Amino acid sequence: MPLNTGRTLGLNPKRRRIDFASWVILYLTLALFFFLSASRSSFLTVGNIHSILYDTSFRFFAAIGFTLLIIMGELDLSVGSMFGFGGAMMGLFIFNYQLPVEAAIPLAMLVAGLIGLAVGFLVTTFRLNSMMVTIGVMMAVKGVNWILIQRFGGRQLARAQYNFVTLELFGIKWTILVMLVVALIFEIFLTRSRHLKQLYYIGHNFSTSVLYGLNANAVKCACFALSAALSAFGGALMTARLKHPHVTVGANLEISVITAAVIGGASIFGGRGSMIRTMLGVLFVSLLQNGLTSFNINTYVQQIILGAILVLAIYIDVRVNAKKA
Amino acid sequence: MPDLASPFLDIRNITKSFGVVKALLDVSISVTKGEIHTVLGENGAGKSTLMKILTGEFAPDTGYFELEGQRLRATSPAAAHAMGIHMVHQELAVFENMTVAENIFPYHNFKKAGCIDYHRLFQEAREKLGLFGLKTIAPEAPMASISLAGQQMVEILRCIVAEPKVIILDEPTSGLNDHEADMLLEILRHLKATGLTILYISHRFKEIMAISDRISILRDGRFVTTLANDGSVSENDLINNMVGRDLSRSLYQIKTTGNAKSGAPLLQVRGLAKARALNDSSLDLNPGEILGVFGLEGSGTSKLSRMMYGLETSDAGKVIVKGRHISPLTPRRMVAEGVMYLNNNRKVAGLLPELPVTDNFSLPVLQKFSRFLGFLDLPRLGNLATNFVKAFAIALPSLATKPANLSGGNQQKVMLSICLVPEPEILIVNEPTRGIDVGAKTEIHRFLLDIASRGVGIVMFSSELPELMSLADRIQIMRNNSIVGEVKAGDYTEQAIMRYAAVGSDNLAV
Repeated sequence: MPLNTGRTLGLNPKRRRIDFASWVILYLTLALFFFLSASRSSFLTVGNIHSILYDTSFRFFAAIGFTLLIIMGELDLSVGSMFGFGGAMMGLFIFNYQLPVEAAIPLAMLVAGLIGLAVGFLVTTFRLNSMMVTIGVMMAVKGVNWILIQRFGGRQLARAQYNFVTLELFGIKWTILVMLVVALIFEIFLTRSRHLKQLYYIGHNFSTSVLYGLNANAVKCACFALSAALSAFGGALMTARLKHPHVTVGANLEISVITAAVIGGASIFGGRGSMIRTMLGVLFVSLLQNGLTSFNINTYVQQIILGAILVLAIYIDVRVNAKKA
Repeated sequence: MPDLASPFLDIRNITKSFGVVKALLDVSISVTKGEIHTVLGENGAGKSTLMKILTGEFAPDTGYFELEGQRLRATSPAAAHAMGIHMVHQELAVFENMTVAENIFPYHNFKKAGCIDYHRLFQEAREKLGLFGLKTIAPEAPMASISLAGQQMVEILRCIVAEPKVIILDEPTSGLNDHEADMLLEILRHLKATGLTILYISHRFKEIMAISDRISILRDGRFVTTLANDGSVSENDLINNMVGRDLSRSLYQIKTTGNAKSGAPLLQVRGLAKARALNDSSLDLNPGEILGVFGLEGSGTSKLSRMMYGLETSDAGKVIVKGRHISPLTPRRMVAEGVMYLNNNRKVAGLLPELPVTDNFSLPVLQKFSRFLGFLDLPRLGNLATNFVKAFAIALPSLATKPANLSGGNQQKVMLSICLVPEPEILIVNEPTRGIDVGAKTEIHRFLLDIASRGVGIVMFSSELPELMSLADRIQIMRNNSIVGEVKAGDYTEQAIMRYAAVGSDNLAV
């Protein structure tokens, strides 16, 4: 799956060919799409496809920062909790402080971003393992979410506070369009701009990037903050869609996101990853869950399958990308 | 006096190459039973390679060794242990979180009813410690809680309890103070008296003279001579044998006149210091000058190079570039001020082996070659890469080639090119030609001279004296974490520099 997706500047246009191996995620997604189209009559309808993409668009926000971080060799397992945190904070600011939704969501993102910054500080300054730190943050933030949501006692958002999320442009939900535009912009910046291009250098060899003048620690901190803030944004949107904060928002999302990123060509060893392919990975996971549900496979069995796919993806990653000792 | 007639450990015609680099060439050394035999040589002379062959970490290309007349070829450290050869490495290999007793007996399980008999373990350990006069170390103490010297002794004890025939000590006193070192030497004499054969590696001449029965000298992978330390040998004899290359026939052209441009110094290092790592070190670099810094292993050269570039923190001192005090001192600031650093180990840092050569070249100039929103000027970066590949005659199939697929010499040239891409005014190079073939070496020397002739100041850290003598306008010499002297081109001999580095300036009269 995640074959040879290391980024190059592509300075040699004559020799530049489409790298078929790195688009495995596209073939997988297409294969699954055609399989479901052929085997399930209910699958290939405008309504179903739209709803799968709509689902994907929320989750994608939890995968953006995650992808940037995994390129630098860091893992952020708190994205699921931060997703839920966005909804819980949104509820807090709306219910308890009577703020308008336009203020509640940015504030929720800000609080999440500050927590992300703190994670970045711990990881870069004290050289703590990012996976362990974010597992701790995941637990702690989840606790906060549950306490807050329990206090809300099932209170619903007002219509004016949630209906923005269902707005459409050309008959397509705006979140889907934003997902596509954001993925494309990140992709362009990752390949063409020094700001994101440097992530690959940092991921390939941290010491070398520092030796030649990159501020690798600051970049990491910024990406941890971005990851948390964008996850919170996605969670706030999801909460608006559900019309009330709920503890299931963002539950186990980190597993879907890491699976999506790794089958999208990112490597846990760093230095590899692409935003478009991560988006396809998120779409693949959504398609898979939709398909499994349409075959009446219950959600617990789905968990087993998703877990197995993650292990398989990591196995292939290690076989392909582990540094030759 | 040990019996010198029959060899106990006989090293016969050992040759070992690593790629193009010949680490050992037909080396033969005889060691007799019950002697302390020192192996002496400059950095890279082949001492550690030879020891690693004895302990089975490397296999020799040709040659063998005999122990008690039996021809052996250790294939792994475990096999060497079985033959009775044990080594105490310079970097301690101790179990920090276990007790002293457990460190002395890692293999012996004194068992009682299937469980470890701690009473007996501590008892045995106490006896062994007593044997060494180490009554102050408690066998129950955690290893991490005792001093470095204590840990060193415990590690030697661990070897001794295995009842070896030969033990190899690699710079055992490097982390110890004088008193601790004396204690260690006393223990070695005691061990020698019990009939143990000791191979000793050290750069400290005083202790070598004090303890060795015989001294074998290696130079550039070849055996030079074995001298009996019977009072007729002086430190100078040792130094002359360690250096004494026939430089007239070598690839090195000795530089006889300095050609620094006078004027304002480019780089000033003032009183850089760090506890236990570097003592108050200062240096000045002029435009167009190559300033060499020489020192034997552990003399602090690497620390100085890293600290003056901000790769390691220092307790005191400052670095001034073109009259500006750099604070905070970070590599990022140094790069911005026109200083670049060529790392001594391209496998650790300095090169991105898995990214194409063009991407490697682009790293230090990402900012310089970016436009609106940070978008990179790809055509210009491409041209730049092409030019550097041409200028440095780097053998490349294409610009998309990854350095991992290049030879060591070409990798080194790519790394040097990366450092030159931002057109630095100051270049700090650390072991610029380590582990590459002679051809690439001369090319890199030519590049460095060429760069300097264009006004770039170069601080060159190298443990290869001939290299420094052929390139540097001045050489500063380090010993014991301090700069102990300076010599100017055309105003020194190889022996003089080695004497500074080995015994310091005070002992020049020896």
